[in-house]
Amino acid sequence: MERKRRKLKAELKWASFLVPALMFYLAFYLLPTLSSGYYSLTDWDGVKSRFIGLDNYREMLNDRMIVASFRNTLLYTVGITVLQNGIGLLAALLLVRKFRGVNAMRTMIFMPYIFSTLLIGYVWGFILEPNIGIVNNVLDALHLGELKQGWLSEPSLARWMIVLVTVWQCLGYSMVIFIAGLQGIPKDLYECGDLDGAIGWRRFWNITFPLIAPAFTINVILCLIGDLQLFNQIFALTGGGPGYSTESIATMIYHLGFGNGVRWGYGSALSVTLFVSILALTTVMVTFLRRREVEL
Amino acid sequence: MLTRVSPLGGYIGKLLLWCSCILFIYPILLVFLSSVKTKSELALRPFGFPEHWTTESFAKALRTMNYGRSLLNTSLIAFVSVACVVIMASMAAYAISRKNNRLYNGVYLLFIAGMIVPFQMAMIPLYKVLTALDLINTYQGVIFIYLGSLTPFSVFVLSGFVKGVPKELEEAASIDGSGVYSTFFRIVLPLLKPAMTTIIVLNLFTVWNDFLMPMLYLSDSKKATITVKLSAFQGMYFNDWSLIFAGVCLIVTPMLIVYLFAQRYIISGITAGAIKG
Repeated sequence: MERKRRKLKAELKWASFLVPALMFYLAFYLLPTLSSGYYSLTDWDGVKSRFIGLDNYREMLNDRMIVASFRNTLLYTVGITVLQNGIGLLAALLLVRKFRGVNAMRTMIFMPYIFSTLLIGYVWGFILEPNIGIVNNVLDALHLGELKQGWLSEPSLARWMIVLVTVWQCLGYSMVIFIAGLQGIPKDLYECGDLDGAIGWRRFWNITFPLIAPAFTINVILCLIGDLQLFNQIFALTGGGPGYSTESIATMIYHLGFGNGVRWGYGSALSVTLFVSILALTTVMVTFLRRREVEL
Repeated sequence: MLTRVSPLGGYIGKLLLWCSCILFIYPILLVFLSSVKTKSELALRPFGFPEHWTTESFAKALRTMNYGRSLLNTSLIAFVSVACVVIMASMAAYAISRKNNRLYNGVYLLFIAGMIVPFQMAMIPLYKVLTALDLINTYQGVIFIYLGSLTPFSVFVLSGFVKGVPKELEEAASIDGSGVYSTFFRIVLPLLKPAMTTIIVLNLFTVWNDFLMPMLYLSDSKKATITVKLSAFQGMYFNDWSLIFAGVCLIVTPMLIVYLFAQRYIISGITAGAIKG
């Protein structure tokens, strides 16, 4: 009896370690999030709400703005994930070597990551500004005036500018993870490879790439999770415009909830859809990427 | 790594590398250089070094942003939430990785699930929660949300780290009669210092730079944070770029200093969480 009570007491002590974090996490993050599931079935507008079943979801399918935001999000996610990991890996391969200045270089490449996206939006807004912006001025100076563009006012260009600015900002993060992965490869594997004549590209494909698979997995997954929710860069660079041409799902939810109309029920339906897409995509990708990882 | 190249090729390669690195800090240099130019000089010669240095824009930015007060607001919110999160997340991470049974692993998954939940999904219901608890427009309200939303990532990184801390010290302490709590606070917590530093710094950046949350839930202009004050510039002083950039400098500088000092920890923390986790 006494022993049982002592054991219970010890268990309760351990559980108490979880309580503070769990309490705030559940009350101020997870449970509100889950309640979106219920709100998505109502026409809640902040004041009154009525249960309307799946009407919100049905409406979404025929909403041209929503469909466009899904298409944009897909473009952003694929574009950013491919470029960020491709260039990030290249940067890591170059900067994993030891030479003078390599630490300064890594510091410089990582630096944009620490700044608020809002600030990044101002700076790039200035650089890409059509009249006094640097890009157009440089084009003028090079006598390439006909290439001048309204970089953020032409929808198809603006989307790619959002991709590029995001890659520019987050590249350092991927690079750092790739560098750690590369540093974990035992040197003797390369020596063996040398004997077998694996050099250059063959060395990269047959030795380096398979062995940094865990770093590759985590980078791709982090990109997917982050880019499917892409919000800040769009908010700061274009605000979703011109029109709704650069809107992502996340900015769409914001505009539905806090923009021109207060369609909280509809916004919730969209956020549930976004969450389910992220969950499905990450599960599929994790399974797929883990399979090609090799054990050392 | 790569095949050997001739010395000349090496030099050209390094030069190219430096040039591409400049690409990453040029926009930041641009901000600092533009902020000390006059409005008209910036319009005429947007890049290059300023001819006449002026602190005019800074003076105006300090005034319009009500910098003293808004800096205090941001610092208060950032320090309280970052300090609480790191302690709470360390406790949770410790229990999770030491108990390691089905219940605790379940809790771990519950925490990690938060990483794939988009903030936009919580955005609307949180408004309702804060209103219901009468926490809208209060510091506590915003701090509580940060405590919830920063937890998943912090627990993720910290529990990866705790797994690498040897258990022997704790076992020795418990034989000496030290209770669970005192073992944690006197022995484990000091060992977690490097990982905690990483979490503190990364969370500090997140809170410092965030503008969406304070904009939505802390609209009272006395309690507004520096980023919210700056975002108001866009509408009011459209095209006064040197003013905007002076404001940007005022926000960026404290974090730039933190970054340069804590760089080592940031990078080790990112990789620890990513590779071990």
